[in-house]
Amino acid sequence: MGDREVDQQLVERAQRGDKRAFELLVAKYQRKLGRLLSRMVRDPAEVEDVTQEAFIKAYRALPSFRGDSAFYTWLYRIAINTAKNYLVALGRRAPTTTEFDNEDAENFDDAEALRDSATPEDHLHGKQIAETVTRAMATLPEDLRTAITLREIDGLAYEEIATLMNCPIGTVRSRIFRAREAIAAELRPLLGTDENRRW
Amino acid sequence: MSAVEATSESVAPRRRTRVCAAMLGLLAALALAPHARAEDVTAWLARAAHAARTLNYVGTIVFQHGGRTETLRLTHVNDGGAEYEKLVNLDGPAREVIRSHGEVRCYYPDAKIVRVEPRTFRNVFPSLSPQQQRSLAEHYEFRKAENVRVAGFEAQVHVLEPRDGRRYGHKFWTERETGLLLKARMINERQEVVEQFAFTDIAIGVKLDRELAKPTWPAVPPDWQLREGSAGDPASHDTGWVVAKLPPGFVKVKEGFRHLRGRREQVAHLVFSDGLVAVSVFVEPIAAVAGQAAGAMRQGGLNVYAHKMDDHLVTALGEAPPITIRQIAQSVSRQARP
Amino acid sequence: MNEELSRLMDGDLPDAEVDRLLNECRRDGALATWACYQVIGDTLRGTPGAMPRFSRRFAHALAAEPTVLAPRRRAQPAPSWAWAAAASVAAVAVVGWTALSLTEDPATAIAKALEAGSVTPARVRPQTLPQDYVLAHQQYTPATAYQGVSPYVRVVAAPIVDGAR
Repeated sequence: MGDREVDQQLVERAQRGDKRAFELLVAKYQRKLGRLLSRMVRDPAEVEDVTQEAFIKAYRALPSFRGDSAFYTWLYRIAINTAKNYLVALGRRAPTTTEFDNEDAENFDDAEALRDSATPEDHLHGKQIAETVTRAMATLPEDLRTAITLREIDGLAYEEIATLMNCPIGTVRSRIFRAREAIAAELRPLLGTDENRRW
Repeated sequence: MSAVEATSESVAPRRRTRVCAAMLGLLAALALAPHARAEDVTAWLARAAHAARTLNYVGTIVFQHGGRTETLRLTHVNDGGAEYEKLVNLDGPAREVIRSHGEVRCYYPDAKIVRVEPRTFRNVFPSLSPQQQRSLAEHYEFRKAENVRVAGFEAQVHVLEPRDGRRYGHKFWTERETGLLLKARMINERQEVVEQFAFTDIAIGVKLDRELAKPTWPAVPPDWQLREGSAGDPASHDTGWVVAKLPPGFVKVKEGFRHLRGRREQVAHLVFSDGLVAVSVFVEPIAAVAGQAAGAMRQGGLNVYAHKMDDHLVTALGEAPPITIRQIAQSVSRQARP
Repeated sequence: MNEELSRLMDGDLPDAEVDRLLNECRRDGALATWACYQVIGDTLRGTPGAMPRFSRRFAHALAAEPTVLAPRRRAQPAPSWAWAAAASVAAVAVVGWTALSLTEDPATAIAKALEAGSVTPARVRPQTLPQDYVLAHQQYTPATAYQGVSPYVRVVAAPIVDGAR
């Protein structure tokens, strides 16, 4: 399934009053949105503030989201506006080029993303995460690695992966889950301890 | 309004009409903006195609795809209606694409290969039927954004956002005066840019000698390999193959047999389009393609999927997401006999 | 439960079970696991980013918000075709990570890539294209009309694969 259908399951529940569903969406998109906003708001500390404000604004605006566009597209627009208002309120100029307007897509260039990124500590943290994931991937059994690659990098649905790997969907499901758990085992220590432990 | 009314006696009737007309125009514009209608979208695409064909221009292009960046130099000359075009790779091995009289020749000096694709008769942006225009509007949402500057020119910005996950989003920047396409981007569902083409500098409408679009090498350089395709009849012919489950909005635009790689075996080639992008399907006997691996590949916005079916190799490729290409490839089957 | 989170991420969890999962998710670590899985996906796609302290702050902010309630809407119907049966499709080789095993041991290849400094896993994949097909296709794609010869860059950009092609 594309992101659209996947997100819709959570968006609908958030719209019905389930905040946990919204938190799951936030956990999914927070880094991406943070990266986007860090190009408009240079100070890393402020980036977190503005990102939070954007998500809160999005939460309040949920009743008006009708599913005409993808959730992230809608979220993106709210975030841009939040950042602009923030800069204006501080008497700073918002970037005048319309590069960010109208849901311009994020550029693909990793170098640029890293340059705009946060503090040196966060930068190093990001690098450690990447190295850990890469190492964990290399030690996965081939069928697990293939399954998670087809899912995460190629964006294929379970049915398509089942066709390609010539196995039942249940096997695809299980392989992807085991791949994630194997990598997570290495990654969890890096991702902090109580900070996520609300539920 | 009242100021106009109060002075209606003293104001000439023509001026009042102009004011009213201006207000009506403004109201009409407000009603239309920011969403363009299907006809408007295809109109500016046709305008871009016309500009690409008829103008002289030369410039530098940056092409980004799959994390790679290529820089190229493009020269286009229109000499009394005949087009001469040259595209040179500035990075890596010196490769060239020459298009003249509709024939495309690709020179690979590093591999000593020249590939030739003979002229097709479809070099214009297909004028879409009203039904196809409606279909385009059904599957993409159109939007105009504020003008920006690209390569030193003011450009209009057009966005086509897909309404489903079966196609990519597109964003186009066209030069305001001529309509020439200066920049284009393909975007996937995750809002990531899968491919971008952009002029970083360009001169438009300048006097250019067609010598500038001449290839560096002769037509078939000595001791190079020539790989010639042959397109066959421009009219469509039944090949005996069908695609049973086309994604919504895609219709067949071409079908026929052709030759690839200078070989004798006939290859069935079907082309499907949703009005903006196309997907090609090739079906050939497997004996003719020894060594070809089946599987999925991509280069930027172009996705490929090949698989073996009976004794044939089915390959689908086009400017659509992997799921669409796979869908089409896997629903190829023989035409049921009447 | 973690397996259900994994399925939810991929749209493989039926609607009825989503509610059950969200209700059951009161144990510590469910959100952390979801976040961890998301980071894995982002990292594989080469788009990490780091905001380690964000979640906790946000959780507090969200808790303070009055709950929104939107009127229930009819869900958009998904495209209705079913995927083609696997029976007629022979097993295919997949280009990608597994392609590395054609040339060398994946672990070695990754180690080399790490050494070379290209940490992003997505970059370690070889790509080749069947150029004759691409060339034939380009003559018919609308892009060639409104973009001129520029799309042919695809034919000259890909690395050459000689031999039968």
